[in-house]
Amino acid sequence: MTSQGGRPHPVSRSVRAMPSPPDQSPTPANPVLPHPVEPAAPVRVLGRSARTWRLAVAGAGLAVLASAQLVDTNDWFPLGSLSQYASAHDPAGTVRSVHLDAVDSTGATVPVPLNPTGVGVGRAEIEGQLGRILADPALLQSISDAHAALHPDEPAYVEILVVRSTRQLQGGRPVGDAVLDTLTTWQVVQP
Amino acid sequence: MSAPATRSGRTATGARAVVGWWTRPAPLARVAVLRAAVYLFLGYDVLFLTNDVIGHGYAPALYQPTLLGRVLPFPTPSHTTGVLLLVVILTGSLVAATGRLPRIAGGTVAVAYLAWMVNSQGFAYVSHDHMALIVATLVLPTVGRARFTDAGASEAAGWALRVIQVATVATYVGSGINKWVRNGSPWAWANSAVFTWAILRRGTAVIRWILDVPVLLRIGQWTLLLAELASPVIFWLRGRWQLAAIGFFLTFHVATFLSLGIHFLPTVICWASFAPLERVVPPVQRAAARWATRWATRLPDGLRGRATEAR
Repeated sequence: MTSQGGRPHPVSRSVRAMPSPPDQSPTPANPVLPHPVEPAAPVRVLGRSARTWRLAVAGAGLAVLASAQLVDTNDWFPLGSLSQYASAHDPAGTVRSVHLDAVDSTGATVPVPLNPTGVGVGRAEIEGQLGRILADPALLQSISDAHAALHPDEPAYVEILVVRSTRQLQGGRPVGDAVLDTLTTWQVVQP
Repeated sequence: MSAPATRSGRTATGARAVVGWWTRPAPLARVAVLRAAVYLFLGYDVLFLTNDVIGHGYAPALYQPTLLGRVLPFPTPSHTTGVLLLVVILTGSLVAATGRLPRIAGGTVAVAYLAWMVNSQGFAYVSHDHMALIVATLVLPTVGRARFTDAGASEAAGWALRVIQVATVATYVGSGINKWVRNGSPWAWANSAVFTWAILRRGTAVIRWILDVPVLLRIGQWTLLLAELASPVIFWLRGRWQLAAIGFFLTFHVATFLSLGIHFLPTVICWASFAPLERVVPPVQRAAARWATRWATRLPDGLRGRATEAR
């Protein structure tokens, strides 16, 4: 952070002094007020190839991101669809939410902590592959394995239940209580 | 006869304007400050926001990698690789935040952080609040050396800042377009019960009262969608108007944090790319000098001279 003299900038092809400070008028890069660049401060410009690849990368990135919105695919992450909360929901439909319960070795039914430090995976990650889990409930074994590894002091799970909670909407308003359905269960294989 | 020449002349002027817009010189000190903010934030992110990577290591059977996770040789989730990535990101970010080894440290962090995020988002749920931040980690190393005390500017700095700005705004406009495409029309989303759905699933006590007044939620949905689709206007706004537009989105994030616990901090930090950040350097320098003086006067006599010299 101390001044180290006039060492050339690695990306710059040449350095020129601008007659007036660059970016002195408010611009998108400088929205509010001029920055305190001294009038004689050097501006390092890009060479032809350095400029070309930068423009190409920016254009390609934008094209991928824009296409991902139109194709509606998350697969191109981090330039995939920006789809959080993008699905419409019928004001006269239902609101569903899935959670996991577990029966532990003491016989108690406990909620499975679907978070990074609970069992590593979140609720949305279970919902995102619910079809896969219902087709092959053995995948729930990894939830039990994660719980055993992350919380060795807690009673082990002996059974895991996939529970769906459904609430009815009318005119965009929730009516009645939540209806709970157990979609599948898995008898945990103890190590 | 001069028409084609005029037309090609106009095209050339337009092309120069586009190239100039993407590479307009920006102060190196601005990049230095933004870099410090972004890399320090990455530490917070991997420790507290996307901290599911190590936990994911215990449930590898549920890993459903996105395209990059399938084609790049990123490690499959395990406790060990999670811890390794964490150490690399934390160490590299600390070095890169100081501005030292901007390409090596920054490049290492960019690759490790991408691997970290591909894991975090590889379990059948992909959030979009990290898009601009991942882009920032990829482009910041290209600026090279940029010191807090640099008085100069560079086109490389201008390009990196511009890309981060565009990625930030694209987060909103892209999300608006996706809502339109996914549901067939813009009003299908705005007239739906999506906010009710969100609040029923994860609403906090602060907001649940609004479930009985769905018309307010519908107004909120229209406001958000229109603001998202109009967000690129920010590049044409100046001064206080631009600040107000950015303030709108920041307020929106505060509101969703209070009502749903969703904060979008990784995108919020990227809004800083619009600010004249280099202006924080002189006050920080003065405060550091004052602190050093005060500290030096409290030292035993024998050390005082040395501490003052060091300053």
